[in-house]
Amino acid sequence: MQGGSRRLKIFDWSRRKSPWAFHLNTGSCNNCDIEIVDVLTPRFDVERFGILLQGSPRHADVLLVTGPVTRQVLPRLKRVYEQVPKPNVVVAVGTCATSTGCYEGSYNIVGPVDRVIPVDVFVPGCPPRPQAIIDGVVAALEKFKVERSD
Amino acid sequence: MSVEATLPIGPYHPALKEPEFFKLFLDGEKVVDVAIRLGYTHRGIEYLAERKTYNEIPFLVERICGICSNVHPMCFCQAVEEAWGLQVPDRARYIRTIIGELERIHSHLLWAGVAAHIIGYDTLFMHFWKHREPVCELFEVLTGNRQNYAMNCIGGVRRDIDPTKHKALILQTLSQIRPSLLRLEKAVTEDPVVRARIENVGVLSKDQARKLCVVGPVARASGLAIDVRKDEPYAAYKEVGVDVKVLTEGDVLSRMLVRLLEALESIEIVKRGLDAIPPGPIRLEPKEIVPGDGIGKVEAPRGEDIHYVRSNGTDIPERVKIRAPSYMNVPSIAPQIIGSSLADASLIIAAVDPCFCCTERIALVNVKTNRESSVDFESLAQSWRRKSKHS
Amino acid sequence: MKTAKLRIIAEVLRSLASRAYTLKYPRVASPAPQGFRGKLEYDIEKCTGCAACVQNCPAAALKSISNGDRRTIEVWYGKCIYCGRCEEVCPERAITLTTAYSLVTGRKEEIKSSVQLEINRCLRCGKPVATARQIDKVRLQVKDLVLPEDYDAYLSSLCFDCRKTVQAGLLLAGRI
Repeated sequence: MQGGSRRLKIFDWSRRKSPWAFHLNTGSCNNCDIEIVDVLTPRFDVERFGILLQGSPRHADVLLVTGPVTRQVLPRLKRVYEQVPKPNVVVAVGTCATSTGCYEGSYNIVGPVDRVIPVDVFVPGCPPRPQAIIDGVVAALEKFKVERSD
Repeated sequence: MSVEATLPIGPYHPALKEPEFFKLFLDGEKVVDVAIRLGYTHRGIEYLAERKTYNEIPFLVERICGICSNVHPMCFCQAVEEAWGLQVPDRARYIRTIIGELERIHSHLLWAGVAAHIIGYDTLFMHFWKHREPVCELFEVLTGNRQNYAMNCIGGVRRDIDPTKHKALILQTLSQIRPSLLRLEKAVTEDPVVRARIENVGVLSKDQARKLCVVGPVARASGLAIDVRKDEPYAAYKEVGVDVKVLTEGDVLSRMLVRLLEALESIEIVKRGLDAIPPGPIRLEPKEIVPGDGIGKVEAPRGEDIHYVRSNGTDIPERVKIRAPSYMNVPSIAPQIIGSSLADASLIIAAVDPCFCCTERIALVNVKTNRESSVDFESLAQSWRRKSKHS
Repeated sequence: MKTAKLRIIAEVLRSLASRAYTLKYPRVASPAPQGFRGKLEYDIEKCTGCAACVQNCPAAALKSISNGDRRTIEVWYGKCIYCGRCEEVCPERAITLTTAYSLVTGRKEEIKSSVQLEINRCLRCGKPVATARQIDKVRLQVKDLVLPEDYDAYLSSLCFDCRKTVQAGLLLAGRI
């Protein structure tokens, strides 16, 4: 239906132009989390792209996940992912979220993140530079376009 | 006092950057009890450290925490150097001091911004983090990364501070942020709205502080003049000297002031260090691995950090034990938060500057008998792996 | 009250009057400074395949895969912690940490890089010995230490067991 597809295009455009993000720490050392918060501060200022960090997963379009997933966080990670409305994109920020980094072999690590939830974009780095995180979010937003076209 | 409601804060909460769980028991707006549950960021660092070689461990312990990422490798290296009887070259000691103090500036400004954000003063949050940026960019030039400096190694430091290029850059950055810090400090202390939010909130008396064995700025804001840099000088602190800032009120305002004053003092320490730094080698290659024990103590931005290393002559340590400062500070949240109102709860939690990823250690307690037991890491790992196969 | 509020307003006006502090990334490039620990790169001309980097990596991001005639040293950028230990321990200085920092990808297995080196086989029994470059390097070092008449090129291309056997044979025959 033409009316229906026109409405969906508008939603898709607004998601890309003003994505709201929710940040989830699955046991990281906090470096990647500080760099994510840094991306909001005056030096990098992603609010000019319409990106806002939200307090509830239900308000999010982009899920930023850091950390190798620890055992205690595992059920919470799954629950939060179920609460984020579809369509959404998941960005795994940092080497730990991509591959557990130097924590491989520990008894309490069940990650990396893509073992638990599907991940769209990986941003390796320890921690990744804020510019790389911006690149990651921009690449993730392209996925909104691809998802809608099929 | 009757408990009418319980409010869980966490594990994921807009005010918190890390997963942690505080269960507040409320009587109306007043908090009557609190239950603290951590463990979400336990990664088994001590277990991994007993399976890596001495040269790899500084990189592992650096990733215990992002904000204190210089403190842990420095502490570990000091513990190993004590165990093996290594004398670190003088230039390396001065470089460790300079990097440690620059890290203190960035950590305190980070905390001040987070505290301002929690009380709703976002302008101040943005300004604090704006003035923190030059320090991060300075680190990028000096060490190769904004947060994980990888400067410390056993026997010294890995990179030098170039007297021609880097010294001028450090002095320029410090002269850029010092006037801004002074202005922001006044903006906090002279503003009655900010004072109303943070004065007389989360009070920890000197007696309570001593009984709970708190460390760092939390202790110094409650009247306890304890600072590892003065009491047991390490690196180049004996030569450079430290002026320890102590206040007596014990509330959030005193802690904020102690931290801002410490950041200003760190600027002076870096300048003194740069003036007095001697020429010479920056690294000593260890010749042999000596069996023995070593303890390293460092004043992290959050307090006293202790590392214990037992060496058995092989290239893998026998035991690495880490006691992070937040381990002593987090229990002090309980007496502060009980009796306060709900609106102050997240501020009180943030005011001890908790670093939960530093704090994650494991203790086995039998809930029926309330007794602690000890077990070696290998059996712990095997029993957990067996459980996860069946769950 | 007024002084404090005026102070923060003065701070804001100061920020407005000065140059914009925000970086115009991604429109304007923001390169990392010299000395930044970014993506590592191998110099294939210098690498001998000794795998010192593989042994010393704290995150096990480097792997050495030897199968008969070829040794591959592979790095996975998704596991690397960008510490610079490999650059420190490489005896040939074949590894450099460049200033490239943006390694964003949708498929994490694709951000890998490798070097491949030829492995020499023992001239007597055919077992793989070491990479050709490693053997050449050791040959050069041995040549400096022994007298020209004592240097035997054939012996240097054998595996350890064959070399022992051949040298034992030469000893028994009274030739050495």
